[in-house]
Amino acid sequence: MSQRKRQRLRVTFSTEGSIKYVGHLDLASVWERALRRAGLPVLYSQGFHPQPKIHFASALPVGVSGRAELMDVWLSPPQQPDDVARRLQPMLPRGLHVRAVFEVPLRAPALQTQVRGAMYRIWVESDATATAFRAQLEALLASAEIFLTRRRKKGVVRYNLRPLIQEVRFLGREEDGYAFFARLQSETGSTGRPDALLQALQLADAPRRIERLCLLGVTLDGCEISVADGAGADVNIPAGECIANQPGH
Amino acid sequence: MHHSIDTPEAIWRALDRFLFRVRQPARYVGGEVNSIQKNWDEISSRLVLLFPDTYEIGMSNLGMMILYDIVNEQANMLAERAFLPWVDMEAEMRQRGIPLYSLESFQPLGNFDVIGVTLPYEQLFTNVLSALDLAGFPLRAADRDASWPLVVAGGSAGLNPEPMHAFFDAFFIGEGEEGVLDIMRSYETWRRKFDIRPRVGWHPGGAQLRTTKDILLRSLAHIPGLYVPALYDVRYYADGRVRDIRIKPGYEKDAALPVQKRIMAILPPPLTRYIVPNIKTIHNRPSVEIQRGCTRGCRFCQAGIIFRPVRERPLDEVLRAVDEIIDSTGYEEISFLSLSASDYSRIGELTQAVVAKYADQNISIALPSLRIESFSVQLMETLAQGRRRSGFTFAPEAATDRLRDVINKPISTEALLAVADQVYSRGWTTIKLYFMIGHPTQTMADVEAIADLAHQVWHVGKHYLGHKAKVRLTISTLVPKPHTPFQWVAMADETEIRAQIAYLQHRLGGSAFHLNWNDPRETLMEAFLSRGDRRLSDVIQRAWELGARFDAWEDQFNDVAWQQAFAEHGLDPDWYARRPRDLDELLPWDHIHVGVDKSFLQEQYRLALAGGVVDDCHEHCYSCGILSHYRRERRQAPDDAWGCPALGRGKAHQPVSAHAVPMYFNPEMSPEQANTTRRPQRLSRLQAIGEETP
Ligand code: SF4
Repeated sequence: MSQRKRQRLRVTFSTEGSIKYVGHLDLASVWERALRRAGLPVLYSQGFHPQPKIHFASALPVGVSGRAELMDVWLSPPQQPDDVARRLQPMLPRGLHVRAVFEVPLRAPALQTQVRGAMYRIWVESDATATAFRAQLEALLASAEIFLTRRRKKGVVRYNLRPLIQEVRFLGREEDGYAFFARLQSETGSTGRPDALLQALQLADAPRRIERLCLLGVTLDGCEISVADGAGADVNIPAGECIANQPGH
Repeated sequence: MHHSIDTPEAIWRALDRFLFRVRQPARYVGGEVNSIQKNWDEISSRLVLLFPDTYEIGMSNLGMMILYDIVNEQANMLAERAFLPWVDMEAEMRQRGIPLYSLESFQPLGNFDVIGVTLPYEQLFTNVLSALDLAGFPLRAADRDASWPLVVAGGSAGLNPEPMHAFFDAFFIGEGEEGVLDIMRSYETWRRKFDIRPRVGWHPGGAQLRTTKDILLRSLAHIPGLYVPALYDVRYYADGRVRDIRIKPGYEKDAALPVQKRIMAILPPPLTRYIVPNIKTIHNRPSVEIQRGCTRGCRFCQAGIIFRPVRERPLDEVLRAVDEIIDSTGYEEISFLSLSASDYSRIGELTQAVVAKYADQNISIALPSLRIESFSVQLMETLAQGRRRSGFTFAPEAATDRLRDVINKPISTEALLAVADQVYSRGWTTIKLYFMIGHPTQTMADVEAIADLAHQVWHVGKHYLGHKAKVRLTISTLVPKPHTPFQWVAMADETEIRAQIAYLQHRLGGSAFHLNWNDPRETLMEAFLSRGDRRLSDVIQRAWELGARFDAWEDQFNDVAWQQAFAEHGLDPDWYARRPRDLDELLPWDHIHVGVDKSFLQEQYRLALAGGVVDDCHEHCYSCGILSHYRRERRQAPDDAWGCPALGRGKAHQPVSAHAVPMYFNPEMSPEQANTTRRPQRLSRLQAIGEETP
């Protein structure tokens, strides 16, 4: 049997508004159905339970919006990337947007293995003074270890958040709270979550708005580095660190 | 309760402050593909469809989605959705003064004209009170004047409306596809005439608004199928039985007695623009209704009576709907809905056609409710298409030939085992069996037979698969439902039920079996709520005040609250659930007519006790009442669209008789009648399942 020609596309997407409350697994089904509605020939795995071949770079935590999330989707036969973007967008639920689609080599490493960290912009309600809030952030960075507990399926796990915090930068007062920028490690098995950061600040239940500005990781050969829509303009994302969302050359 | 948060913007802002820490927040925000948000200010007639349970359950309700689609099709109407928040969310909303709101526009329920509540089962009753209260409404219809939205219920649990009569302004009896528009139009006419628009915070009170509401109720009562409980009086005997049900003086020209179920002569086109939830729901797939109603006549089954007559959807319409649904939703699975899919006349062609078209597109097809026969195995084989075969479900409902005759589900144990053989031999590892305990005339021998049968079935599986073979059993207790031949029967005694379940647990303890059963206390609740009279409204309200809600959720069921509520009102749940009724007793739901005559049900009940089996009425019409009450509708439909014979035609093929003609009497039940049995009109079906006829 002759192998049909395949294609691997990298989709950069953003989420906005209420769709941030949809969890990662559910969001995967949302994409799967949108791809089917768009009539795109997604490749399926073989076996008893054929699964569409869609891989995400990193799960977006519930309640967090993403400005430049990444996923790879395999199609067969191959399609024009621009055409895919154009057909996909109208099929998406409110708040989900395709930012870019480009082809990557079939043998490129799995997206998930490329991610090293993520940049977040966090706003949280607080009635502390600016000085006190800043001091709290600095104290976080100054401490050698920050032990937190997390509820998992198999009971409660204690872990150290500190090594997962790569950078925290205070941005200023906004509405009834403060905005700050955080760069957290994000690797399989050791991922710093922004809500853990708020937990460490004793603000676990406070109203917040969290945006993942971009994912950081190993860049692809031949891909230019950029950040969608000027995300993170006020946080100065170091060039050369975000995973690309534009085709090169 | 006064809400300061009462605009869509304020509601969204308030929600966004805490949604991140409630369970499954996506169910509170809408925004799904195919959901419809119209321009609120430009649409005059506004309906919100409320499902009084969680989003995940409500979004699986086909009836609600059909109404959503129909109303939104109208240029001058809008329909939005609301669900009951889970307890964590409800607590947050109450604490912050956020009223129950719609998922499309985030409008508080108090800003709609009509609240259409879906009531498919009785365990939702207390949730209705939670929803009304969370919306800021007075609970009792009598306390809501014209400045409040109209609150109407629809669905199977409304077919005995009496226990909830105090809380709803009206109940729609039957199929609502046209009725919903009648209600909206009638309301709109009245609204314009009196220049009234319900809105949050505007409740000036006064006699004027009460009179206006009375005018509204009066006009609504003219809509066929709409029951307005405030226009009727019920009197009781000293012992609690219903003495009479009358239209209140002055309303005789408006209200009907009985209120007759509304049906669609021809099934309206199937819903194809399914909302695609962003999260997993209970039935995580769209379905196409291939047939409405069932002619099999199982005597415990309420659906089998209340959805009569049988109407089939033409094959090409079903196939077109499948295409459209897959196009508009992108779902990976689709199911065909029918009370008995095997009875759909073109079921073979249908499965062949969808498999041919969609098998290579990774779309799977679900076909629930198949009959116990080899044809079902073939159908499932076609649908499985080389994928994993997990479970195969059958519902014999009783384990002895004798008891299956009583419930009129005649299939022999031999035939059942033969089908089990076909299933396991083709590689399916699990057979799921549904049984009911507590049928009338049941003895312990019938319960023992359940365990015996399960073992026999397992041995068939073991022969082919060794210890990989599994049998899963679900044991429920008969709840004698209104409008069924068993409506006069007492529900089984609690200690008996417990002993029978314990026995089955003991016999079916090994790893080959998996046994599920219902808590007898929850079954009792279902029984008194479905068989109750008007006096239960007070009990329901009190139980709710004492904390009863989400009664369908095992972890929330609050038995103590119910017991106390009954005690405080001097009523006894067992009197409702476990009292056998006389055949001539006036039942609390007798003024609701579902199209099947009480005399037919009485006859079926008598036959049940004598072991008399009647055939599927596809084979022979028994004049249950449908044809005489829906002559007009029958004439509107093509001859072959209904399961009932066409009027004045085809009588030679399908005789209509005034009395049910039993195919046979079970000699164990009725030795004196066993030999007097008339020959059934057609034996084909019985021969197909290998039954010997006397
Ligand atoms: S009228 Fe006759 S054919 Fe129709 S449902 Fe009743 S018994 Fe069956």
